[in-house]
Amino acid sequence: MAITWTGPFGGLGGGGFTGWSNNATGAGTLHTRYRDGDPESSFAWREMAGNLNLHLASSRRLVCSQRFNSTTGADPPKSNTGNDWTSRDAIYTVLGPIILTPNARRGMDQPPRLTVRVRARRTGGAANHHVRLYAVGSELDCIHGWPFTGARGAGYVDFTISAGTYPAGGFSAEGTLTIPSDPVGWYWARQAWDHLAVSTIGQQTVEVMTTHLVLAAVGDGAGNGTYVAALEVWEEAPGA
Amino acid sequence: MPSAPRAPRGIDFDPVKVGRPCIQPRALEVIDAIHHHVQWRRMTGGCVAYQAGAAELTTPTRLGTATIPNHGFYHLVSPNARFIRVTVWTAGATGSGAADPYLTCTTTTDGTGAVFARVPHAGAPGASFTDDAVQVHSATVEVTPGSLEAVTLVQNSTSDAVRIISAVVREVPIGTVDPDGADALYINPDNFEPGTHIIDTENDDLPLGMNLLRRQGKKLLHSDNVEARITDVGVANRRDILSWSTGAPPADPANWNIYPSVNLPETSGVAVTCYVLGRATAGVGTLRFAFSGGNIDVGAIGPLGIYTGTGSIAKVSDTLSKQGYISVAGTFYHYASFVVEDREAA
Repeated sequence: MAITWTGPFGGLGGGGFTGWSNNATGAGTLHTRYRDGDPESSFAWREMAGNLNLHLASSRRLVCSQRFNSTTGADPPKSNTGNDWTSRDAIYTVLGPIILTPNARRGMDQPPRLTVRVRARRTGGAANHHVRLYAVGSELDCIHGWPFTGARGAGYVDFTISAGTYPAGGFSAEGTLTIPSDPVGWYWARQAWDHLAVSTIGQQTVEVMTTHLVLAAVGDGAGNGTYVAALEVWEEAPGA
Repeated sequence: MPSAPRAPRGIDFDPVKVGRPCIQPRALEVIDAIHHHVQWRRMTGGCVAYQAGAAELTTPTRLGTATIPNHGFYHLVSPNARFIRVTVWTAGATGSGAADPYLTCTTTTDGTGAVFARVPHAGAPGASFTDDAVQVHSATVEVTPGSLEAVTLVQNSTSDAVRIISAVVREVPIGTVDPDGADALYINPDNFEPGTHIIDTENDDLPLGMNLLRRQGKKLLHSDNVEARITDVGVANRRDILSWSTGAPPADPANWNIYPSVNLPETSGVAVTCYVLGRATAGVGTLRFAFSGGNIDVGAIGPLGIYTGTGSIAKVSDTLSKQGYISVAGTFYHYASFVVEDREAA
């Protein structure tokens, strides 16, 4: 079988081969050049390894992007003025279950991490308000179990909202939702992420990682609430 | 029978010493990494979510009428993915008819779809969700691997509607790469056992697999399924549908983050298609997808439908703000918008 030479490497030395080779007639087709046992084949293998790692490290997935503002304005309808995280009033919306991709470096048994940004402002007052995105392991805990999860000490990312206007650039700085691997509190009998057996209909039952997302916010308890106008969630960069 | 994949890991950056031939264990690492990417990097597709107290949640309007569509998503199916699972959180239903309403989820591949989310009638949710009103329903529907599917949630009645809190589309994963799949992404690790030669034909499978992986692993970059009503006339008065500011974007526009997939180093950017589900009551509407390096306009939006525009965005990362305007006095309705990467040619 003829093996076609494809062209230059992305770069030599410094431990880095990046980019994809391209052949003379088209783009993006990489073939090995060397025959079995040929010592010079190491160059091709190193380039292949570099290309694949680059692909894995660069291909983070969108989990959720959503506006909540009204049809004719910048603010959404809900503004929770209470300051009690255990109240259902603190729940803005729920999503899921979300299938989580194992990190290419940490593997299937390590909890995933998500990059989160929110667009939020307080309606008034001077105290700091807060927005949180929770990772919740089961549907039951999202709303039905919400008032009882008083501990709720883990599995969320918190954003401090200190201004009456939306942040520069429209969104908060990125926060990392690090989903814990251990349960916290007596009620959190499940982890905030879960292994779920999924029947693939005609193929086989496989186990995947899932979580649910609960967007929550509180005000100052003195009549001033929090608007959350948008949410954006991405997988972390796999190479991290 | 293909073997199950090993732990999904990125591979050692230095698998082969210069001047030495490749050995089978290193080849197996590459195979595992390719299979990991194909099998486990399942895509969650577009989503819609409403907050408690939202007008759409209290009184649903997305009923599939001539002027207002059902909820719809575009989902770019991964290689080897054959089913999607759509999960909907509901807050009961409107109306007082004898029969409880339900949803049907259809895809481009399965136009009949799956019936699910049959919910009882309940009072309109206020600022808080309650235990007895909120339910979760899921449906599994067939898709075509590697295709762009239009996923639609169809209400069975335009008078009694299911109140949708949120909906998420996600792919159903598979345990092993399909060795008989037409996309030929499977690489048999049994051909790379220690002590045997790595023959040329098998050697060639690895880079071929990665070429296909890169070409087919394109993805959804942004989705938005919430209505916006724009009455601003002319591009000079365009309205940002998130910040609701008008005119030229300020120095700090409200920007979404965009993270494209790896693309050829020889190309200057990543090719994308922008989709808008919308309509205009007079003239035509335009939604400008303003990326950091330039704009992609989706224009000529008239009767209710899907409109598209193509262009190229920056590699690695980009930002996006969306601005709409109408050509004459009237209303441009934005119902949904998406940004999807385009596949590279072979």
